Amino acid sequence: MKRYRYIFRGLVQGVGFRPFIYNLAKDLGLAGFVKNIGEGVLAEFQGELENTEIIDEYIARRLPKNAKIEMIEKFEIKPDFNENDFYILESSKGKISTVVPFDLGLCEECKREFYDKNHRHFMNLFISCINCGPRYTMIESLPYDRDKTSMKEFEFCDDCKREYYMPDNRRFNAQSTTCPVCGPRLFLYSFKKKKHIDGSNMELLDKVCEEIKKGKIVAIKGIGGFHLVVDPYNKEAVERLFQNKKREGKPMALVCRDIETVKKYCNVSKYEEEIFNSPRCPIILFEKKTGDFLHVNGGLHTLGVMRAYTPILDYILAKTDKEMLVATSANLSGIPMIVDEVEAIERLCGIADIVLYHNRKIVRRCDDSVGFVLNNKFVLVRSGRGFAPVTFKLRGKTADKNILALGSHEKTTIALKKEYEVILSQYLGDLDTKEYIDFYESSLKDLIDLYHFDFDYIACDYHRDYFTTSLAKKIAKDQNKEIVFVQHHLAHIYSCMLENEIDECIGFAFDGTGLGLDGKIWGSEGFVIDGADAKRVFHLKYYPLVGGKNAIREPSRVAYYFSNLIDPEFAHTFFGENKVLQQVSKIAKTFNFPLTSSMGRLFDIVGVLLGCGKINSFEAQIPMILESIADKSENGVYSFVMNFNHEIEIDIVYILQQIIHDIKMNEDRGIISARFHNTVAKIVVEVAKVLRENYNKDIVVLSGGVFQNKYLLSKTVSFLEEEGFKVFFNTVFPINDGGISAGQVYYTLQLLKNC
Amino acid sequence: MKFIQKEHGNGGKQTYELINELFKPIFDSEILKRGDDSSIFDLASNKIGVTTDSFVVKPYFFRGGDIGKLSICGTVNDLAVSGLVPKYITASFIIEEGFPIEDLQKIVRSMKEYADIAGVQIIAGDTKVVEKGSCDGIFINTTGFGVCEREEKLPSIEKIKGKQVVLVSGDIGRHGACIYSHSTELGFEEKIESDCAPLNKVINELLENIEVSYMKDLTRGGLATALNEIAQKANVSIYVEEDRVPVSDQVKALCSILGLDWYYLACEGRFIAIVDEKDKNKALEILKKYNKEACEIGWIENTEEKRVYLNTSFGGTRILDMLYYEMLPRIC
Ligand SMILES: [Fe+3]
Ligand SMILES: [Mg+2]
Ligand SMILES: [Zn+2]
Ligand SMILES: [Zn+2]
Repeated sequence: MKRYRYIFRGLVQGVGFRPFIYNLAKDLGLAGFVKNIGEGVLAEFQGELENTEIIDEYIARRLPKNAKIEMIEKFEIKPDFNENDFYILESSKGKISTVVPFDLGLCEECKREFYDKNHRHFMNLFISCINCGPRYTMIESLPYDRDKTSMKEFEFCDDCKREYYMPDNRRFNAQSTTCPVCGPRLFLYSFKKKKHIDGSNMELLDKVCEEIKKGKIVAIKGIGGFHLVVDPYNKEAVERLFQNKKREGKPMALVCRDIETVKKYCNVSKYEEEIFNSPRCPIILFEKKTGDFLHVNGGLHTLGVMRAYTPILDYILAKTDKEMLVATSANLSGIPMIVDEVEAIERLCGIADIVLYHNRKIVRRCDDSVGFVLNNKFVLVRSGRGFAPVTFKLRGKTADKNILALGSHEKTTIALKKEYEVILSQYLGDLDTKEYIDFYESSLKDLIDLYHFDFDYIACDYHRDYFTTSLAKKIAKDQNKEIVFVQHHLAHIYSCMLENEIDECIGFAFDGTGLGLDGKIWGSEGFVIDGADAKRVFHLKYYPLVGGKNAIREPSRVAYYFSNLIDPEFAHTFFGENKVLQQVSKIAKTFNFPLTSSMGRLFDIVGVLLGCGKINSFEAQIPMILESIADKSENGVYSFVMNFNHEIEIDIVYILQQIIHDIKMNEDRGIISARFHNTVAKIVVEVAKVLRENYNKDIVVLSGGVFQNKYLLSKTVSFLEEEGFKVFFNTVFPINDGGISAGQVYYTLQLLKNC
Repeated sequence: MKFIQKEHGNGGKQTYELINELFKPIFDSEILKRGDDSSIFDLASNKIGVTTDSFVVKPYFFRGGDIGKLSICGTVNDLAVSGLVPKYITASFIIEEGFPIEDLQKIVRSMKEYADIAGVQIIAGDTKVVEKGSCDGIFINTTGFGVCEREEKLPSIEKIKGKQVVLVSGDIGRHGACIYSHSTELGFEEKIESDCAPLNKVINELLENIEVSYMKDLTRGGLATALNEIAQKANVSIYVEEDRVPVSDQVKALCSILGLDWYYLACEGRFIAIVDEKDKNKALEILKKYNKEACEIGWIENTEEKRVYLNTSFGGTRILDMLYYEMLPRIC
């Protein structure tokens, strides 16, 4: 008789791991127990065992699909001869370092039961099992047990109780288990009637379906917040939603029931299909192949679609007989997505027509995740439901110090480095308003509590006017912690280095604007990096950000300035008699506008010149259209000159000259756009080649918001690979400012290595 | 044209001439005329206040004023918002070699003019000439003395409490916009006049009639910075209604073109007053007599955060914090 103790770390709570271990013990005829502990799952197996081979093999073969074991510790202990059965024990709190489970979209089995008239879970609007249902958004504290989730309000009925305690049931120990008898209730509020409407759950839901069919805007409480749902085939209704949300032209996400529907409108790769059907259910930016939904997606070449990840959404799609529905998060300008019904009724008056909500509390706000697939890799643009908290296991030896990183100012996230893990929060938004700052501060407190987190270092951006930077300074002072300031674009590169635990590379960070170490506004930086040693070796030649911060919203100011500089006649015909532009441009001769090397602004300028718009009414609107129009069959490239000063510099004027020339020659704007994209990719390669010569490095890391441009990213990657570089781009942490906090962590780790 | 030369600063004959022929006749102060090493004067009060400030501005002649006027108003206003009645001022000059004497004369005259308007006497002065390139034209330092005439009514930061209202004495950002406009070639300098002015009269009338909890003149960093300083010191939050903040169209237009935020533009003749809700109307009545743009812009709230919030018509509640970089965007 032998007895072995196992400690499992990784994604092992909330994924059916304990029942799996229970079944293992039963199948193999072993005694012992299993229980959740703070740091994972503890199990002890006892029986006529030679060694652990049979257990390990069973685990390897049959591990539940959403579980991920990061580490197993096992050792032989003294047998307990009194024990002859296998038990699931109540959790005991230990050190908290468990991977917190993310929210899982509706699984196939549950979906089948949901529509099965003869099944007890027929029309269970909150159906879930060990493989699906809310997790992160309903956990109040760890370890993951029902009485520490927002499900604790719903006491089991006898049937649910039986399922929950039956080890061979799919709902065995599934904390989200519930049914129509004991589960949450629906409520429906009408703004017009200014009151709640009576009815059973199904009556209310059917009422909602009718309203959607009539073109009404319905706010629906889901997993991580409220959606605004509208019929996308009703153009008037969509238009009304745009107006109410004051988000003219900003693409809205669609939801549908299966990938076949997406395939009707978009090109779908195998990997895209896999992600779509996975329990993560992000909004995937598919490439469109038809001209449909232009009124929904802002006229872009991509369509953001996600799988109906809740029974309610799936039911509405089926009942209304709509292939697709618009499901955009209920976030008004400057205000985070609504998660609470009181707030919904207060704030959505005049925006939605009715509000459908349930009485299960959303513990944590979590927007839908967004991303796209490139080369069989998923590039995150927003970390939210299904991804958050992103947990990354450090393989390499790291200093035992813990780090708190506060991230950027926009699209910000928080990162914790705790022992061997880096944990990235969900998307926390742009920190210009009280509402988002409240969200940020409460999320910070929440993460620290949830993970029982204590830290030695605090990392933040180098820009002193970021809210996060001033908060970091305050925390460092109050709690006497050491603070590390990380330059924005370095953080971008380090975020990707972290994913691959690279210590040295050539890195290109292309994005909008971030404060550089020389006080200028950086945004197209090339670095050579060795540990914490980073040398800036490339950037676009500084140019004036004509119009100051207003140039970001109104890039026609910079575009006019350069047009006028290059070809006044062209500027005049193209922009017409525009007094403001003329004034701004004239002023630039005497007034010291801030200098920038921003790549994002260059995309703005080219976008304006190619008629993609004059104003960015939301971030990167013009560059997104510029990407959309690019003719992907075009291989042409504009020439550019590399000037070797302290750093390699490239003057954008020469490139713009060629673009203006092409425009004047009436060249197709899709071709010009493609040539411009190709040129930027080419710049990366040519610079990288010089750096490989001089620094003997062949790993290239690409990061920063500009690389959300899939066409640019894919071109750059393939150019680089053709030249024999090893190329990395973000596939774990967001490629834009959402990844900054992770980069701040890794930079700090590199610094600590030197100590 | 005559220019300042090194010899004007060497303490010899030329220095003597400059002081006796340029400064003394213009300032025309009994105390100053005595030419003693120290000026001796009376202040019939238990409490006196002192403030000092140095003035560097380019260009030193701007629309609506010059560095001389600024150096008097700045110091007078610092005294006035503290609840003091300004009485005496000292002036100290650092002048770059080669500075036109005619310009110096103009500057000194305008100091005298505004000292008279404000009812203060210039009682001491000093002049140094520095080598070309060591300073940018002319720097002036002034120190002001004021007396406390109503001790019980002295505004103080401790008097600030929740629900009080914040009043501003006129439209904001003119001085900063005016200075910016001089560095452009737009013709804006034709339109934007600095708000530079002494505030002691309006403040005096205000204090005579109502209880003012706290006042602050809006100088460098503008409204946003002043409000943040108050929030920090008083441990409160301040809410400002975006729609209510008075800003002239010209200032708005300039801000749009340069990518600036008027909340951070300097003023040199505006102040904010924090008063009880019940005194608000009376206060506004007085303020409006001096500047019809004066109005109520927000209120005080007792919260832990010590922040300044800007309620926008849509787009949530913006944070109006202090900035390190006036012109650097945060957007990425
Ligand atoms: Fe960035
Ligand atoms: Mg002062
Ligand atoms: Zn399920
Ligand atoms: Zn039940």
